[in-house]
Amino acid sequence: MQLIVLYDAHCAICVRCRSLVEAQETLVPVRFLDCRSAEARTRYGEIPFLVHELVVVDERGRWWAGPAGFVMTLWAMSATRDLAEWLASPALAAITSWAFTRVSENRERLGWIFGMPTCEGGACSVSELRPTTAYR
Amino acid sequence: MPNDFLPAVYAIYAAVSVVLTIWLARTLGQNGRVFLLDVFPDSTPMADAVNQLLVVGFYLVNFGYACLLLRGGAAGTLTGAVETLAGKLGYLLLSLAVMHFANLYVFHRIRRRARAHVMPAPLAPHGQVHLQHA
Repeated sequence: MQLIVLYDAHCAICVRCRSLVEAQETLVPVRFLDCRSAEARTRYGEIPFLVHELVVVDERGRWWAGPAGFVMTLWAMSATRDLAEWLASPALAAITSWAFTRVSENRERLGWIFGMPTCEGGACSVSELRPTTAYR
Repeated sequence: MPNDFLPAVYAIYAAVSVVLTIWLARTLGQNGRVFLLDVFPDSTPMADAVNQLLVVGFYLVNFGYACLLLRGGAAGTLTGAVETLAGKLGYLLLSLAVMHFANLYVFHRIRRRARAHVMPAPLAPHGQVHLQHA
């Protein structure tokens, strides 16, 4: 299995999350793709939530949007796999969904609160990107 | 009041704690090995080594705690002696139970970690797109 995370490269908090995930050891390979890029639009343009929500796609074309995409990204990392299983459980799914949606809706403002760079006039760039760990 | 029954309490307590700890450690060792062989299918020596180390840790903690529990207690009458003995064994059994479940949890974690890469996704996908070229 391989996951492609279609994220918002115009949002500071999303770019920060990308660099955090890329610094982690992963159990499945994770690749990030700007949701507005030509490749994303060409290959995954038929996904209705593309650009509006976080979308995660696997190598077979199966996709998860919004909170489910977030949980799948957590699930890909060895440190947060158990957390992902928890958050995906029926008991916590509603809370996970609610919390993720709040953060997602306010992502521009949250990026500013945390003192992260704004991405005005183009895509955000993160210089300290590291390659993902190989599949174990 | 002299603690006339205290030596008897100590003797019974020591015998019971030693037998219990050895029995539990052997049970843990025999059954834990099955778990570990599942985790290390290609390496029986590795499974045995991890198993042995866990059993040694189990012995150390339990004998240490059993020794600490030995001391003291009122045993001037037969009733007092029985109460003291029961209290000591109660604490010992509870501590053995905690250690036992902690070990089971360790086995569970080791096995789960080894199987992490074959676990299915926690959530069903929303849909599937047709990919032109993978």
